[in-house]
Amino acid sequence: MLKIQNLHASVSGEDGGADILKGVTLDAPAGEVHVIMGPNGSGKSTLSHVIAGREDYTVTSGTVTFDGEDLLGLAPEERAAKGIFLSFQNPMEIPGVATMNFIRTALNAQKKARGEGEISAADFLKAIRGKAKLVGLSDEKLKRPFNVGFSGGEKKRMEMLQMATFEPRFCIMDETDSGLDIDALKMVGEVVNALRDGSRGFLVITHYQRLLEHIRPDRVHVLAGGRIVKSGGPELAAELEASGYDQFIEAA
Amino acid sequence: MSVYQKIADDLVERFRPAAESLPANDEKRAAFARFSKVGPPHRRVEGWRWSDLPAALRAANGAASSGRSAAFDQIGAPSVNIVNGRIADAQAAAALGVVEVDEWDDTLDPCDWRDRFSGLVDLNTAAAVRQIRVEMIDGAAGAVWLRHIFDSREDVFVSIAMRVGNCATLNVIETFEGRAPFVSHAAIARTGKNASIARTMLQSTEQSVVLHSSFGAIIGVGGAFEQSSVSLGGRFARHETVPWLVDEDARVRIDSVALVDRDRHADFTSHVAHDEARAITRQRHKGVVDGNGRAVFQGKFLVGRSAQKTDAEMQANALLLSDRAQANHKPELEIYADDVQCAHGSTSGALDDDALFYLRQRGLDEGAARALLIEAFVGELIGDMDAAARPAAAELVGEWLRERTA
Ligand SMILES: Nc1ncnc2c1ncn2[C@@H]1O[C@H](COP(=O)(O)OP(=O)(O)O)[C@@H](O)[C@H]1O
Ligand SMILES: [Mg+2]
Repeated sequence: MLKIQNLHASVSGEDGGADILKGVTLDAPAGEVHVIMGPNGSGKSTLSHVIAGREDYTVTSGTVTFDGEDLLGLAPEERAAKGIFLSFQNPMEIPGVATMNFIRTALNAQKKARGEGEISAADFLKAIRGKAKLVGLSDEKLKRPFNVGFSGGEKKRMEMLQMATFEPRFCIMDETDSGLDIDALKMVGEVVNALRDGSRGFLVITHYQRLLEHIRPDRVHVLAGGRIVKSGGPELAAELEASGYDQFIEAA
Repeated sequence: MSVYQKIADDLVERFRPAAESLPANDEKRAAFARFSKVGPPHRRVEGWRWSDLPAALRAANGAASSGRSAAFDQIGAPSVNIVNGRIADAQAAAALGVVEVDEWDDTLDPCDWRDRFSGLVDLNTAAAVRQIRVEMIDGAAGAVWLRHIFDSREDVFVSIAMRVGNCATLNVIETFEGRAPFVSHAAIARTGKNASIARTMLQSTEQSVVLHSSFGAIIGVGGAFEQSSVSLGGRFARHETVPWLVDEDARVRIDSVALVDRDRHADFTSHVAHDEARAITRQRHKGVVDGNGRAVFQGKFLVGRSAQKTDAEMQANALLLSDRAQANHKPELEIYADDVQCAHGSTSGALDDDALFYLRQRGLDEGAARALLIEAFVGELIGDMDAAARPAAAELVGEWLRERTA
């Protein structure tokens, strides 16, 4: 599904400086949940933004393919239409943008790009009401401008609402669990598990073992200094939580 | 003779034939004399630094108008067509009901608050052929849409006097469309006690228009003045708003939106004079500028010695969509009372890259994402507009956005 090969990336611009990603290689096949852990500043968010197509970063070498197709030449919205979804570490507040209208416009834009029919206003309303209940966002919250005045946890719920609504083929979750309470973690697990039908892939960035009790990962990778320095099974996450990242900071 | 004196003299001579072609009238003569002496605005005149009227007039021409603004079809209020400053459908005007709209021979003169207006109001007084009168009787409430259509190879002078009786409410929508080499619009409203006037101004004239409009309102005790406007600019378009709160407990809301692209210029200038206690004034301006456009905002709050407990806020925000786009903001507070709350703020910047990426990650293409953010930027002000004019205002914004991405 998602294949990353020797990916190097730096900040765009004249004085972009040294690479932040220094040769990331990762293979996340359909049906699997891959976890990325790693110290602050190691490049986890950069990796997720580069996969999603943020123009602030320049890929200096390497490839990213999705079902064998090159992703790096595509605009962010084209990647979204192919089914790449990023749950942002710090979701935006966008004053003046009506939440429901935006989510429906985005969903229909994706469908249109895929050559599918639009969802009707009534069907959309029914679908989003159900998902909103699942992620724990009230009707009142949906009526507000997008994320305006939301707590950190509510913004993460809004990310999960969109993930549940778009049903993307590949979900990148950048510290979705940070700042969430125990019940919300369980909800995130439910959203992921409902989408886990063998055809989708997941890249879950986290610092904590806790979320992984709800989402059983297949592989765990440690990203340090812009490289994947260790990969292993689910037991690696527990090991890391016990021993910390110190060993890898040296290595990087 | 200085270069600016020459510019001023040229302006006077440009307008002299229009003023002198009218039947002799002392007031008009006096007004033209005042205009000649102190009136012609050029860039050395206070308040005209960023708006170069003489240059715009030199480039102005007599091309014919190419059409109407379709967005205005959505306005839901009884209309009176005013073509080149004259009521074109007297029957419609006569059938309005509580609002009376007609024409008479009178001149507009702000008299004792003249110095808050630009000299162009004197020119308007001198050159307007007739005056349009809008009258709302005591205790009545109603709406009227003054649809100004310009289709002239000559300069056009529109003069309007409004009167709103005690405890009356006038909802007036003024729209501007078409073109003329120069359009001068001047209106003065006088209100009684506890009267309110809500004005919506939508300007969607042709690219080549040179337009100056000014609206003055005297607000009595317990009165309210609300104004919302959308201007698409022109070769030159300046809108002046001059409310005078002569008594206690007045409430004012002034919202202005400017959307300018290409070589267009939009100027919103206001002067709110608070004379007596406990007025509440809220002013918001949003300018969106693309291409070589320029949006000027000049807002002044004058708070007199007796205007204790005045509560006044002004906010101006500009969104710059290109490297050459310009926004000039000049907020000004002149306060003589000691127990007041006055504040102003001003920002200008580009579209937020983080927000753009977020929207695109969700599937919107770049054009749609930009349009959504621009709409959001002006959306609050459009949302607070009078319901009869809101769909037309939203359509103006939509048209502007579509034209840019087309
Ligand atoms: N847009 C940017 N401009 C400058 N530096 C950046 C930018 N994005 C990331 N970085 C730097 O790259 C490194 C990795 O950041 P990030 O990917 O956010 O780390 P993580 O998510 O693992 O905490 C950090 O040192 C960060 O400061
Ligand atoms: Mg991060």
